[in-house]
Formats: sequence, C-alpha cells, structure tokens
Amino acid sequence: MSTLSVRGLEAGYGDFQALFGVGLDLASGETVALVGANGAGKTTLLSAIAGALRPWAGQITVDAADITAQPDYQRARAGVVLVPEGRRLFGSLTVEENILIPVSSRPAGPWTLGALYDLFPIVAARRSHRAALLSGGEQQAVAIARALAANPAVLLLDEVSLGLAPAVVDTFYGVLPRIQAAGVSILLVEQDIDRAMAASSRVVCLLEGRVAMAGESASLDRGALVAAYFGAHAGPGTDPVVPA
Amino acid sequence: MTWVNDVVQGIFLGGAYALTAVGLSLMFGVMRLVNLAHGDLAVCGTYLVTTVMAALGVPLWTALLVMLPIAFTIGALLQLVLFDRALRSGPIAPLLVTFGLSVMIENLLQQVYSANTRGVPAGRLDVAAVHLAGLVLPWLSALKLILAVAVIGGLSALLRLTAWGRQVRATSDDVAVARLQGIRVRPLFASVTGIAIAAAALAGTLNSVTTGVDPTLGALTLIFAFEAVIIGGLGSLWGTLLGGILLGVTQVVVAQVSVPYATLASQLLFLAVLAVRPSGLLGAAQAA
Repeated sequence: MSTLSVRGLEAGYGDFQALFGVGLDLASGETVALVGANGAGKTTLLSAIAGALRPWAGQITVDAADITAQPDYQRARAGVVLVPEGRRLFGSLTVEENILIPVSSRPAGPWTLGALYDLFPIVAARRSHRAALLSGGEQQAVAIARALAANPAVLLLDEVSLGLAPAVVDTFYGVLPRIQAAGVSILLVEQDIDRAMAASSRVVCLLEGRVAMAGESASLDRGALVAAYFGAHAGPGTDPVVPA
Repeated sequence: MTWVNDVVQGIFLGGAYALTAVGLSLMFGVMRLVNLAHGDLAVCGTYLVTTVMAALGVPLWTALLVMLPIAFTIGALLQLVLFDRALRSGPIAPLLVTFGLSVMIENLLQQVYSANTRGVPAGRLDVAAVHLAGLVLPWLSALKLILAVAVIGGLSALLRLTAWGRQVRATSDDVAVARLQGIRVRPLFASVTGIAIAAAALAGTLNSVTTGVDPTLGALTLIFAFEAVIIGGLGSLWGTLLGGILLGVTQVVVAQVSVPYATLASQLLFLAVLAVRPSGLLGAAQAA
C-alpha cells in the first residue's frame, strides 16, 4: 500500500489550468523524483499535495486517508510537509524557533531536536542565529529540519539545489538516505536529471501538466527521459541539466 | 524646577498615549492591519465600564476587571467576523471596513448614550498625588505609565518566550508557510486582536477619568495613537512607548511656553520624524 497516492489531479490558477489528471504513488520510505521543464507543473503538484493550492478535481490520500478537502494547516498534522521553493524560513525567528514551530501540532515520531541537530550539525551550530542572516545552504538545512520536525510521513522537497553550490547540494543528497531510513517517503523536485535518477527509486516526468513518463530510475532510458522532459519538439542530444 | 516637572508630566502623558497605542501597534505589527476604529473601540471601553458600574453598583477597578474580558471577546469576534475577511480582500478593504466600523461605533454611542460628555468617577485616585522633591506626581498619570510599561513588557515577553508568541511572529513573517507548518491562523489572529482591543479599552477608560468622554473622542484618540506608533516605528512595541513619551514631553513642555501651540508642536514632531526617518525611531529593528 502506498503512503501517498494522487489520482486524477487537476489544478490551476484562475482560468489557467496547470495540471491535467496527474496520478502518482509513493511507497513508505521510498524516494520519487519529479522532473520536468519550467512550467511543467512540478511546484503546482507539490503545492496541491501540501494544501497550499486547492485542486479542481482528483483525490489525494495519505495512508489511505483522503486529505483532498483538508485545509492547509491540517496537512502537516496528516503527515504531509512541504519544504518550499526558496526555503521561506521565518526570517525574524532564530533557527531553533523555526524548528520548534511545527512541534506543538505534530504527531509522535522520531524527529526530536536532538535527532535533527544530529542530522544537520550546521543547524545545531547556528541554533541561536536569526534565520534571515544565514547563508543559502544553511537556510536550506534549516528548512528541511523544520519540515522534519513535524514528523511527516511524506516530505515534499521543492528544488533543494536551487541557487546552491554543487558541493553543498551533495551534502543534502547525502543526508536523504538517513531520512528515508527513518521511514519518511520523499517526493523531490529536481532540475538535474542525473541527480534525480541517482537519488530516487523512481522518476516521474511532467510535461505541460501531464505525466509524460514514469519508471524505475535504475532501468529508465535516459534518452527517452530527456525526450519526455522536452516533449515532441525537442531536438536529440539536448541536455536538460541546468547548472546550479 | 518647573522644567523638570514638565518633563516628568510629559513622560506620564506619554505613558497614556503609549497605552492607548499599543494595540494599534500590535495589530499592525502582526497582521499589517491598520485599524481606523481603534480610537472608537478605546472610547467604547469607557462606556462599557460606566455601564458596568451603574448596573452592578461596583467601583471603577472592579468594573475594569469585568470589562477587560468583554473587550477581549469583542476584539476576537471582530477579527473572526470582519477583519479576517477584510485582510483577504486586498489592501484597501481593511481601511474601508475599519473606517466604516469607526463611523458606526460613534453613531451608535450617540444613539445609546447621547452626545453629552460624561466623567468616570475614580474615587480618591482622581486627585491623589505625591509631592516629591518639589515635583507633583499624580497617581493616576503614574499608573497609566506603569500600566503602559507593564503591558508592553508583558506582551514582549509573551511574544519572545512562549509558543504562542513564536507562532504569532512566524505568522507575521509568512502567513502561507505558517499554515503549511500546521499553524491555525484564525484563532491566533483573534487572540492578538482581543489583546489589542482590551488594552485600548483599558487606556480609553483611564484617559477619560481625567478628561471625561464623549462619543466623538475616538478620532482624536486615534490620531495621537497613530503618531505614537509612527514616531516609534511601525511594528515595534517599545518604539510605541518611546513615540508616546516623545509626544507627551513635547506637548507639555511647549504648553509651558504657549498652550495653543502645544498640540501643533506634537504634530510638527510627527511630521519631522516622518521626513527624517520614515521608518520611525525603532522601526524595522524588531519584527514585533
């Protein structure tokens, strides 16, 4: 049984439809990478799952419980937490205060302050600093720690590597297996196809709001994925890797 | 010695301004809501207290204790029913809604209580004063300053040290992300507005012990509260105390030279601060 299940999801903004019948499954402790060009609907899909955006149609379930109609503030309690694009920490709060925000409403789970500081030593070192004053990489670590503090069943990571040096990004991907080992399912959005395939057990490629391709990362044909990434108009040999 | 006395009286008056303004400062700091009905809600506090005194036959201080939870509830309900909806409807809606509320309150008070000025009997405290080293320290004025410091200090401590305060500050930083982290914003904002309105009603009542009250006093109350908030810096509670005290001292000291210019001087101080330091004296240094 899958931890997160998305069926026939349609969503958009105003008159603009961004998602057309998207379906997705995430098993317990599994990492799935979501790839696609800019505007393919990756962030929209994460927003709809996290509750920031109300879908027009479709169904989202977590551990077989239907959360489609649940308001945003209940999603974290239901076990779905988003690490938003651009990190969006509470800038005037200290690092530790940021991490304590989900604590009052969370279900029981393994992510105590101590466990989070153990996972990200840099967060422990900066615990009393104001979040707005941290570097991009430090902020990203705090954003992931804040999301984990809610003891989620499903962690949604939106473009963790955005604007960060490759070496810093490596440390985040190095930590993902430890998060997975604690039973957290991860759905991550990543521009870099090679990184996405290396970090995940399955890849889902979105194209103009539809699932263009999905498959096991280990056996997926990279050329076919690149073609799906760009759609029918893409020329052969074009590499979609966006340098960090 | 008169000058020292004037400055002390000015600081006391500033305490009264700050106590009146702290709710306005809190609501703007947390929700970016400019509450144009703030002065009228402060005036409502007086009428509520005199009504409680008459109905229950209790003294001022007992009536104040009865009034505060009522004012908190009124504030929380206003937030849930009116302000939440206004905040969701763009930047102009809160101004229109609170301005409309201000007009309604003023007319409602005239309808129910008539336009006559009424006093609030405070018993012995009305005129009690301490003579200290040539200074005259009226107890009531001192009490307002003490309460202003206590309310601002207490609120700052709540905001800084409790889980409630942490949630308020986080929501003030980023409402959308706060919701995604599991914070229920509606009850949180309701509690903030409840506290703001209770503080305003307390200030309004104490102010009317010295000056009396009539239904049209809300606009003037709002202007001085606004100036204290702007001079001190939007969103900074201690800044509001500083702004109130600067207003008060300016007013009393200038009145010593020429009474008609006293109010003008405080408006000029306000304009000068706006021109030189638009973010206020302690603005942008603190989030709440």
